[in-house]
Amino acid sequence: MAAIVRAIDRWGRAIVLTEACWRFHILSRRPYFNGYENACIKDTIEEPDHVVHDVDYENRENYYRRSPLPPPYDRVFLKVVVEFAGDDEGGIASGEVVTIYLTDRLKPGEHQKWP
Amino acid sequence: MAVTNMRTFNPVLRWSPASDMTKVTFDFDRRADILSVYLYGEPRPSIEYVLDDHILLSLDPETEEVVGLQLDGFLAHAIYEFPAFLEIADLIGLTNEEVARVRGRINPEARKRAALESFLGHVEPLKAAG
Repeated sequence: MAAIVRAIDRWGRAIVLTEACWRFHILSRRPYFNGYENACIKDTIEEPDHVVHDVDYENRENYYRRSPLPPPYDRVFLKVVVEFAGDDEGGIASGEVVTIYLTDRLKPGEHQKWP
Repeated sequence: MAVTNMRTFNPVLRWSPASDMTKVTFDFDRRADILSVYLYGEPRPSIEYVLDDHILLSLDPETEEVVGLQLDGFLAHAIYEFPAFLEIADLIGLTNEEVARVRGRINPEARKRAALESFLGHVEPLKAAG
């Protein structure tokens, strides 16, 4: 499936958002994200406020950044859930966005990766 | 740089089981492993308010009313903590194999608790009336 957003995180990992994920998993449930794919995905992955390890999935990391949406969706965190495949030949993992949502805080059990 | 001036929320619950249960719908995003419960029939714009690692309240961003629930890590964790959700396995698209696998892994004490909590939900109003 075609990638509509590509980002490189601070560890040099390439992360993509596919069209299928954007349309069928994210916009179908949260249409207010429409038009914000670059601001939500690329900016959050490349310039996060926090990066944490997922509570349940070892191969997932979650990126948090202040929401780029206008009121009433502002002043909260945007959370981008990324699932990583195995390392490529250069030892760099690649990832795919699984979902995104707005939230008031990080989860208590999410162990911090960065900062 | 620390993130400042973030909103705080005071969730308001107006929905009750006495409300129209036919409007309650469930949506299981298998890829993300997230079960969403929509109390008023369809997804509404929401901010997910973290209660714990797996339970989030979906709040209307303007009124802060609870319009739904979100269970993260549903098959990975939450269904073992709340086995009563197996009752709607067919509504959320779980296969018979998945149901059998989950049932086989549920702690017996969790199963007893789920059964009793369902029953006590009927008993409590009687106790209050008495």
